[in-house]
Amino acid sequence: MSAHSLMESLRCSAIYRSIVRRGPADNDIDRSLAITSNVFLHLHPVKIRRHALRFTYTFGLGGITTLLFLILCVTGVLLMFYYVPSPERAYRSMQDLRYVVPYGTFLRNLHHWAAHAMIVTAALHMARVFYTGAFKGTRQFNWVVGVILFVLTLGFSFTGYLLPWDQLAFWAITVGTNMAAAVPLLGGMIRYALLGGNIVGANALLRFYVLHCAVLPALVFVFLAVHFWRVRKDGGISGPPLPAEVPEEGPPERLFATTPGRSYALVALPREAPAAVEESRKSPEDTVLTYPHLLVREAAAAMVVIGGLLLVALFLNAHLEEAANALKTPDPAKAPWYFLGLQEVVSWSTPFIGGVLVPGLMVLALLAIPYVRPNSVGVGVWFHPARRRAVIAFTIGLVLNVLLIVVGMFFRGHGWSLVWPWSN
Amino acid sequence: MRGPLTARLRDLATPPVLIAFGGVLWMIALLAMVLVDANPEWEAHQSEYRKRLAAAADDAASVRHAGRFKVQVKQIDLPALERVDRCVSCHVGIEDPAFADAPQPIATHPGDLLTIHTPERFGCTICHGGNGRATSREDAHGLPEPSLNPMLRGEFLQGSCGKCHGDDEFVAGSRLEVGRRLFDHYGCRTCHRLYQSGNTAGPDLTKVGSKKFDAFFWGNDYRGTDRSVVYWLESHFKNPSAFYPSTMLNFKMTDENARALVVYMLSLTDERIPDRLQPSRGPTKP
Ligand code: HEM
Repeated sequence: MSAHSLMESLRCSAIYRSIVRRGPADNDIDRSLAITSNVFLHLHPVKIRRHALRFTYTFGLGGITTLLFLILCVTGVLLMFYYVPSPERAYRSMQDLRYVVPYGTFLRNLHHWAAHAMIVTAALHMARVFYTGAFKGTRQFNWVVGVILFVLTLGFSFTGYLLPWDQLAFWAITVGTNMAAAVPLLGGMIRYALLGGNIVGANALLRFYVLHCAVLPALVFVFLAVHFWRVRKDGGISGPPLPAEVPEEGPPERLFATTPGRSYALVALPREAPAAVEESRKSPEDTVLTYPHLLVREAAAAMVVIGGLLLVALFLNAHLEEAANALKTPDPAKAPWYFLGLQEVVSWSTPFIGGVLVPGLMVLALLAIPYVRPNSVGVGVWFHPARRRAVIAFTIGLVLNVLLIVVGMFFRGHGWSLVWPWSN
Repeated sequence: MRGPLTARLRDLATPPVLIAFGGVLWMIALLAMVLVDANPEWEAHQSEYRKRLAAAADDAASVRHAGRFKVQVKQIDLPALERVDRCVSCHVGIEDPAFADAPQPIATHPGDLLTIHTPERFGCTICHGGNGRATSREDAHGLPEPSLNPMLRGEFLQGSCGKCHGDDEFVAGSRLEVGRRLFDHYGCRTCHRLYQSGNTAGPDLTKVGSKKFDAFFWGNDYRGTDRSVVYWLESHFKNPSAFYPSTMLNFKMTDENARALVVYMLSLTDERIPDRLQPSRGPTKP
C-alpha cells in the first residue's frame, strides 16, 4: 500500500471522521469546516481579507507574541518540576538545572530568551498597531485590552526576575520595589504587600512565585481571550477601506486544487454586522479562505521563530551570578532592562517622578490614545499622512525610551556614573 | 527602493520555503543538542575507572563488582551540611585503596583522613571548598581564579579543620595551631575583635574566613593577576600597606608565619555545622 492510499484510508476511517467530522479538505466547504469545527482554529474567521495576509502589514507580531507566551507556559511548567521557591533552595534549583538535569540549562535558556523576546515583540506589536491606526473605530477598546496585556507581560517578567535568587535577581527586585515605594501615601504599603515584609526575603520570593506561576498566567489567559474575541468581533484584523472596485491582483496562489463549493453559505450575518464584516460582504472576491492561506503562514512563522529560539537557547546561556546576598550591594545595582529608562529618570530626579509619575503618565497616555481623536481616518495604512503629528509624537516617546534603556544598560558604571561600555 | 535581490528574496520567502527553512533550523538545533551534551567530563573519567576495575578483577566477586559499576552522575547528599557534593562524579576512586597509583582524578584519597571523616557524613567541600554541585572541573574547582568558591590548596586546607575543631584540638605544630598561637603572639586583639574579645580599631575578624575575594579592598594600583583571598591575606600580613596605605603595624613576618596566620584566618568562618557532626569534645569557640 502506498503512503498516499494509507493516508486516504486513515482519513476515511470511522475514528478519524469522529474526530474531525469533515471530508478531506479538497473543497471550500470542507476548508471552512476545518476552521469552524475545530475549537482552536475557530479563533480565526473562515475567510479573511487578502490584505490581512500581507506580512509587512502586521509582521506577524501579535501571533509571534502569542507563540512566545505559549512556549513560556510549556517551558515554565517544566521548570516548575525542579524549582522550589525558598531562599535556601531556589538558587540550588538553578545550579541543579545547570549541572545535573538533562538539558536543564537549555530549558532555562529557552524560558529566559522567550521571556525577553516576548517583551520586545509585544512592544513592537503595539507600535505596529499604533502606526497602522488599527486602534481606531471599533477597535478602540481592544487597544486598551492590549495595554493591559502589555502591563501584565511586564509583571510576568518582573516577578520571574527574582526567582533564580542570585545577586542580579535580588538587587534588581530591591531597586524595582523601592521605586514602587515612592507612591505618595500608599507607597510603603504597596511595597510591603508586594514583598510580604520590608525586605526582599522568603515571603517576597513566595509571593513573586505565586504571582508568576498562578495569578499572572490566569489573568493573561483571560485578557488574551478577550483580545482575540474582539479581533474576531471587529471583523478580523484591520485594513484599509476597500476600494470601490475589486483589485485585479487575482486570487492568491493555490495550495490545494479547488473543487466547487461555496463557503459563504455557512456564514450568517447579524442584521447589524460590524463595519468590517459589511465591507468584506460587499466584495467577497477580496477575501480568501483561512485554511490554508493564513494557517500555512502561521505555521511558517512558528517554525522559523521556534527554530531561531532553539538555536539561541543552545548557544547563549542565561546568566547565573552568585547566590543572593543582602549584605553585599553590587555597584551599580540595576533594575531589569525594561525598567532602566525609569531608573535613569530616577537618577536625575526623585523616586517619585521616575518611579511613579513618569510610568503612571505613560500608561495613562497609552490608554488615552484611541479616545483622543475618535475617528477612522487612515486605518490600515502605515504612517498615514493624516496622523503625521501623532506618529511623530509616538516615535519620539518610543525612541526616547529605547535610548534611556540603552544608556542604562551599557553606559552606567560605578555609582551610576557615565562610562563607556568597553571601559570595564 | 526594491533592488532585484530583495525582490528575489521576497519571491523566495513563500510559506512552504519558510517552513522548510524553519525545519532546517530545528534539525541543526537537535543535532547540536545531541553533540553538546554527548561527552561530559565525568563520563570519560568513570569509563577509565570502570576499565581499570574490570582489568584488575581476579575473582568472581570483583568481576561482579566491576560489572555492576554504572557510569552516571554520582553525588553525596548532605542535608545536615546543606550541600550536595558531586565531586565523586570524577573522583570515583577516592575510597578504593586499589587506586593509590592511579592517575587523578580517579586516584585514592591520600592519607587516612577519610577513615574518621567518612565521605558519606562529611562529603568533600566542607574541607576542600569549591562548588560541590558542579559537574565540570572548572566550575567545581572554582576556576579560573579568583572565584567565589575557590578550592583550598596545600597547607591552606588546614583552615577547614578549624570550622569544627576547637582550639584545644588543633594538632600541635600544624599550620593551624601555629597560626592560632601567632595570633596571640602578635597581639592581634589589641586592635581586632574576635568573638567576644578584642578591640575595634581594626575590622572584626570573627567571620573573616567567609569573606570572598571581592570583599577585600585591593587598592587602586594593584595590577597583578592573583586576586585570591589567600594572596591578599598573605601580602597584607607581610606588608599591611601592600595594596593601600594601612594603619596596621608591620610585624615583618616571615613567609612561613604569614601563611600560618592565613590558615588560622581561613578557619574563622560562619559556616553552620550541626552538633552531631562536631567532634566529641566540642569546640572551644564561644
Ligand atoms: C501579550 C501581548 C499581546 C498579544 C499576545 C497580542 C496578540 C494579538 C494578536 C494575535 C492579534 C492579531 C493581529 C496581529 O497578529 O497583529 C492582535 C491584534 C491587536 N492587538 Fe494585540 N497582543 C498583545 C498586546 C497588545 C498590545 C500591547 C496592544 C496595544 C496597546 C495590542 C493591541 C491590539 C489591537 C488594537 C489589535 C487589532 C489590530 C488590527 O486589527 O489590526 N495588543 N493582538
